[in-house]
Amino acid sequence: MQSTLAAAFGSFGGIAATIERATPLMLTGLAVVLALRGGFINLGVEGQMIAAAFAALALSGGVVPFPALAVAPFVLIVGVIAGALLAVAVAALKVRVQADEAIVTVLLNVVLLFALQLAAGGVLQTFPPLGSLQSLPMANAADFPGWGYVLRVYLEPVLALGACVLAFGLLHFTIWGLDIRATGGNAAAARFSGIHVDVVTLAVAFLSGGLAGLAGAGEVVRAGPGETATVLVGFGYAGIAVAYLAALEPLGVIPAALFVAFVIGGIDAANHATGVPLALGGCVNALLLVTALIAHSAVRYRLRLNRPIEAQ
Amino acid sequence: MMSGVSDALTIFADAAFWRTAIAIAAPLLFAAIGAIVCGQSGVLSLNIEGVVTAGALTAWLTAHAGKAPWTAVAVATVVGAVAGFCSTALTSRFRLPQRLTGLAMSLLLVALCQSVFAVAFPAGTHPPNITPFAPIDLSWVMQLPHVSRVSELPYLSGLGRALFHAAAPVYVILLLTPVAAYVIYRTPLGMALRACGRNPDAVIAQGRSVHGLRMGAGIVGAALMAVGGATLALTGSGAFSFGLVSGRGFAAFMLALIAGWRIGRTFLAVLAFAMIDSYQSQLQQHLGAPLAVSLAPLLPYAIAFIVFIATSRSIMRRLALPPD
Repeated sequence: MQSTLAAAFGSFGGIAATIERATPLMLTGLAVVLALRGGFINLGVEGQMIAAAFAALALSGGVVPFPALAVAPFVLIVGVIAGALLAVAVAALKVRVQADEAIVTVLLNVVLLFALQLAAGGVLQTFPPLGSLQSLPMANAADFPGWGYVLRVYLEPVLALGACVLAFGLLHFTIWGLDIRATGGNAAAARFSGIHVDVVTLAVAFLSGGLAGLAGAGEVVRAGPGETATVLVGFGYAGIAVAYLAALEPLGVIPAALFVAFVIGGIDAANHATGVPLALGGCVNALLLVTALIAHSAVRYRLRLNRPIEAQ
Repeated sequence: MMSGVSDALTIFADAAFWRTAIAIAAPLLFAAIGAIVCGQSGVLSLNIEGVVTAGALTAWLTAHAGKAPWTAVAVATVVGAVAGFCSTALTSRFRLPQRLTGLAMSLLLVALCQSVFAVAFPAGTHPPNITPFAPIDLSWVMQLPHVSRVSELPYLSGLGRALFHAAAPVYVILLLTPVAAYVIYRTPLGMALRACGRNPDAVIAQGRSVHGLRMGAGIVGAALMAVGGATLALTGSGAFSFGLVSGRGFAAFMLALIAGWRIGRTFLAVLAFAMIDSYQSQLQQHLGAPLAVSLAPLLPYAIAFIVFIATSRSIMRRLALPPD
């Protein structure tokens, strides 16, 4: 434990690595928080990240006729739009045909992850074409000269922190935030009081999907040499754990993401040192999510320890 | 190489096509019926992916330890029942949101399985193959007087040769499907189960326990899903990888949901899914997998997802899924 703490926060490099790891978690966590506060159960952050990464990968490698330095911002914006559009499409289904957005997004994740695995197989022409994600290289650094470092160290952390603060302001100090919280709290009551619930749902999905898209495209742009599509997987689901650890508060996302990044970093270090399986990180995330869900509903239903009633 | 429609149709006459389709359909059908048992009682079983994975891994590990296939299935059943107990207790007793809890259980079980597998077979070591279920030879059925005339029809002979030379779980699920339909639609227990999903107040008015029924459904359903996973692990080549399972649990859930938790329609949906999946894999073997075909395995999932989206209005209206 102590060595894990030291590895994560003991040195400048350690702190930087933890923040680096926490950044996409902040984005995906915030994406889940915004969606859930607006009553849109977006479990598809994982899929929206993959969709954005597909868009980013399609545009990398000199496809876009821009000056080299301008490609990365363009790719990021395209990723944001791709993620946002995917989420808005699901939200439109929810609004128009009362589809269950939680189930739709989970199933969409499956389809998109499968597509990613197939793309990984197709790149190497293996048969059967179900490739390991490790065989799909992310765009190499030459595609985005200098941007990987800038994005990883400066831009993305600042964007993520800024997004958390902005979202806090949006939720708690604006009329739109009140609309969002009202819709998430009780959609029927919100509709009755004159809030355009459908518009709020679409807007919240747009914001949520956009943040997920930023995380997905960011993973492509910031990928170092030798990094593969495995870097895309897991942040979306970890984001759900982050969101519930943050008690669905935008500012809480910052410490929650740092904590999850710290835990994953610790397991990473233990994997290097003693060969503990990396999948343990997924276990811890899922356990954190279950625990946080229990805590959340204990708060919500005002559960108290059952003490005997004293004689009156 | 193939050319023309008639060549594309010859795949259907091939026993290999039907053998693959049956191998795909049997585990899905187990898992889908598990999802139906849960869904009819108002338990939304998004834990399905994790339970199927856990069933597949525990069955494979049991067989790997030298036990008989049926013992492996029994172990997987118990593991599935325990997993089902845990997730249903969380959602039914402690009222956690069903969708998030189900997904969390899926993530937890899959990650747990991956950890166990990584510990048992560290990277670099090659996990050995187990002895899967041997196919049962029932081909004498095809020689029976009246059957033989039917089974000699052009496209049915391939189906016959595949169907009457299949592994034991295939016959189990073929028997279980009508039994499950009978229990759900024709018995007081099934009636109570369906009432649990449609109108829990009616169950309470009858003096029955909604919680108890849902716990039972969650446990039995998860056990069935785990048997589906075990079938997946024990009827194939005997090798294990997580790619074997990935997404099949959720696919079964999606097919059962498209069918509105109805068994007959689920059977047809699973059959269609398996036939598309089998067809594309046979097609690839014929064509030698050019790049354009390499996305073909997505086809059954994509078609099922599109059908799910297209029918979700009527599904949602019919089912009134439990709110979180």
